[in-house]
Amino acid sequence: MSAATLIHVVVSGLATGSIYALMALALVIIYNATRTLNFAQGEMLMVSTFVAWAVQRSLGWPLPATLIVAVVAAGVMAWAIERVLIRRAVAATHWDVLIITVGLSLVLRSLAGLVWTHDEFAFPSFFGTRPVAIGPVRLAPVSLGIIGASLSLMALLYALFRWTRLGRAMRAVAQNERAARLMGISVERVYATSWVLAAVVGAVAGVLVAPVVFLSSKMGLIVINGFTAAVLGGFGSMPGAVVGGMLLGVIENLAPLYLPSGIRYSVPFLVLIAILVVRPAGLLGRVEQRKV
Amino acid sequence: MTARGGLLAASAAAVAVWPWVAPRYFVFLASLIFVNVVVALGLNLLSGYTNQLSFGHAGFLAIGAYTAALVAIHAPRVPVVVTLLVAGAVTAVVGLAFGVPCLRLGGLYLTMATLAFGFVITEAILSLDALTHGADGLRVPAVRVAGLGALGDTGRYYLTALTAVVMVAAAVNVVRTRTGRAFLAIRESEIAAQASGVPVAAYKTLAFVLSAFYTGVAGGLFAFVVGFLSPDAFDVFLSVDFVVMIIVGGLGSVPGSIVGAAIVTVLHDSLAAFQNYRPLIFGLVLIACMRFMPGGIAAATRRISMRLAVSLVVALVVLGGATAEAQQGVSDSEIVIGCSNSFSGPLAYTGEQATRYGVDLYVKVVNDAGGINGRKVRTVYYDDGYKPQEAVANTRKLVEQDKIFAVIAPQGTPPVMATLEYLEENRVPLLFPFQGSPVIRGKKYVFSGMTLYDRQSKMMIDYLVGERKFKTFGVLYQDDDYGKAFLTAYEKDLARHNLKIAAAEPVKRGVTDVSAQIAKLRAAGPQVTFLVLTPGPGAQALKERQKVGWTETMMVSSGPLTDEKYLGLAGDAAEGVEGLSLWPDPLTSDLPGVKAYRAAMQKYFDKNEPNRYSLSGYVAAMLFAEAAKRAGRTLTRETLIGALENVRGFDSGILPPLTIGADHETQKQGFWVRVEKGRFKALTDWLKSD
Repeated sequence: MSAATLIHVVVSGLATGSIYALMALALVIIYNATRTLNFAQGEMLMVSTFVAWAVQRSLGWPLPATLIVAVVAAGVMAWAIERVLIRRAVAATHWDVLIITVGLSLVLRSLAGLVWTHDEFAFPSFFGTRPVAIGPVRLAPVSLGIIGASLSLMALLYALFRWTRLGRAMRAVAQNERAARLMGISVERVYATSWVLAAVVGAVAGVLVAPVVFLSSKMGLIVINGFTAAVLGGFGSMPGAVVGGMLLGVIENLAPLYLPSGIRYSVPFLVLIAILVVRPAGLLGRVEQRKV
Repeated sequence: MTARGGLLAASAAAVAVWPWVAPRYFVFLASLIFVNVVVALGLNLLSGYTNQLSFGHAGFLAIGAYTAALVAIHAPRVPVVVTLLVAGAVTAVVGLAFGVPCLRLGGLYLTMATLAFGFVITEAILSLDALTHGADGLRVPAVRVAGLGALGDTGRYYLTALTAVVMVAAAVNVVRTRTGRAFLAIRESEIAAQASGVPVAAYKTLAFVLSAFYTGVAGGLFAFVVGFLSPDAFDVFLSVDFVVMIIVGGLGSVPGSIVGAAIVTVLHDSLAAFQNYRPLIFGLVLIACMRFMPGGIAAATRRISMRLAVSLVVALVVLGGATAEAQQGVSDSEIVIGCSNSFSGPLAYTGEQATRYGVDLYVKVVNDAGGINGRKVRTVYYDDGYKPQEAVANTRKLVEQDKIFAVIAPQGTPPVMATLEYLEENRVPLLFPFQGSPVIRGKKYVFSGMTLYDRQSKMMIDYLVGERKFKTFGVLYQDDDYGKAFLTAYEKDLARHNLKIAAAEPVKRGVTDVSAQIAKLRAAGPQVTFLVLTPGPGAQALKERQKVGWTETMMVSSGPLTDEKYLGLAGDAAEGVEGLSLWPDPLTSDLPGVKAYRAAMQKYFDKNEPNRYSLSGYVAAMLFAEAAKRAGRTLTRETLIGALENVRGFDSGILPPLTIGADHETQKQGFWVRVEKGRFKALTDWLKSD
């Protein structure tokens, strides 16, 4: 395999990895605030992308406007879900919320199928199809665009968490909910914001990935890769989610290149299990000290 | 006798007499419930008692099921009890090997590791295909008991019931002992348990092993009850179902496990009739349970919601039973046909189009024209989500409860294969399944639908090597029964021309990127690259080729892939692609039959675009109607088969004249197309495959 091919395959993997990383970030944002997993994250992404597509198709809006539609739709949906279903259940065991989101994922997928059928649809892309040649290396604008857009979004998130009042409140809740509440932070508002923020990140990921994997009710299954990525990097760690996502994307692409077909698809999961055994908290995660 | 003792005695009596009072289908359903009870107990021992939630129990179930099946195949004389114990023991060993490293993982991490474990197991089943037959699936021989011979439904029922009773009794004893209390202490607080001298690591491992053993035994029962295994059966959603069972029933409760397993099994069964509403309703039930009944049914027993839940189950059972009818599907005024198909899961679109917009479309046409010899046709469909075990349950329900006359247009090799033996045994015709694997040949009651894959391969290779003089071939194929069946056929047909495949690369279902596979194929430099994929990945492969500027190869799509959907998704990357087409273009063809199809679609389902899947269902229903008409007023399954075997040169106006003989193959042809300006252009007339 030539070096140029290798670079192309790795860059493709990084592009897929960026999407996984965004999914993982969305999961981690919610996890940090409420200590629960949102199984329906992928379906929320799917629904917001479908809404954007439907608006684009019926009103003929330009693509950037579509992105805004997706983001707004995701935000509204997440706010409503958090308010109606999740908030009252958070007090119960976190398995309860997990099962609610499992149920929610079934409901959303099924509804999307009823409204838009279970067919696959082409989704317009921000980026061209003509490969960019840098010497012998040919890179797809789609891959570069996805990586670039994802990195920008991650930078924005970093800024939000680092320098804004809201971000500090969210970090405080993640560290110690009770202390945060005593400091006068509205924990409920942090819950709601986390859901909305996660859905927005998911919506961007959805619009970016839909032209590649096509728009369909199955699209939400990508959340499983997001889980894997988040655990690889260390659940709860945002840089970990990014590293985990990228790593997963690259491994997924390199395994078919070098390994026989029998085991290649197990590789990401075997790596996951191996990392968990060596570093139970993931690559960049910290082991939480549990107090009695 | 105490109230509790009375309840126990009553339940025991009910379990014992059930096969003698309940309809046949409900005996089968009860066996499934017992299997799930054993899984739920096992999972509850792990999750409910030691608080380690597992999303990988479908993996354990698979290990048990395949172990039992392999023992039954290779050592048929081993008594069934030993087989089940072996299944449990093997699974327990795997559980130990997996559980020990996982001890270090808490809560969420363990859950993720088990999720990964589930995926590894499905991959392992696929890659160990010498043993497991991979994606083709494995047929499980009937259970034989010394002195009784092969067990039927009733025998299997007692086997599962007895096993479940023993396992329940064992679980009740375990949780009452020191071990059970240690488990509960760990659940409440690991640190406190440790401080009180409970060896936490040892007990957590024990819980893992015990749980795996239970699930392995259940897997063995599953193999015997369902009779057919394939990796599709054990996906992550099955694991989720198990978790739902114990959460609905109640974590850390033995009666809760039993009730939870029963409710979820019955719910799944009753909802199959709602087709594409099934996941919606199931999801809503889950959400409602959690919102209004946290802690599951076990915690709600003293509240009114328990009565509600019980009446719900009763209502569902009655609802299921109420659909029962008298005749074998043909009455004076009606013929009932139907199938189990995908209305959810990976092939939901195809399934819905082939049945509700395909078969039903022609049925509407026929019924509005007065029916078949004075009888109207009615259709029944159930959703199996592409899972073989659900296809078996649905097909049995169709035959035993709905008393359908024939199965028409089910989809996918594993679900169809799983029902094959049952349908043959019960002499129910299986007509025109939407799948092309040659495994369905040579059955008395089965008629193939689409041109079988080996015929497609023969036409493709003979045309490309014979007429077009190509010499080197690569294959990009889906890593399942569909892809592998084509791969084998290509190898065989190329060998006839003394040629070999230069490179073959598998693509996993639902993959996000195929750049590595394309890079490897490109390195091998084939003149022709076959695509044996579904529309999404097929279009991705074309786009990837465009991205890397690989122009030296000609991409050729397999019959099932050659459709407008795939062109639409690929856009300009599809230009110049060739392929074997099994159907005329449903959108633009001028053939009289296709025009009539479009007109009917316009009339009855004006919002639904014409497509090949619905066209295939439409042709299936047309052929059925033709044969049923020829069989005359005394329509029976035997006269239908006879009529079908005598179809000579039937002109559907869509396909070339069809002749079905003793080989039971309907479509045998295809024609060559090339994509020009975004449409398929025919390059040849119908090719021959004989």
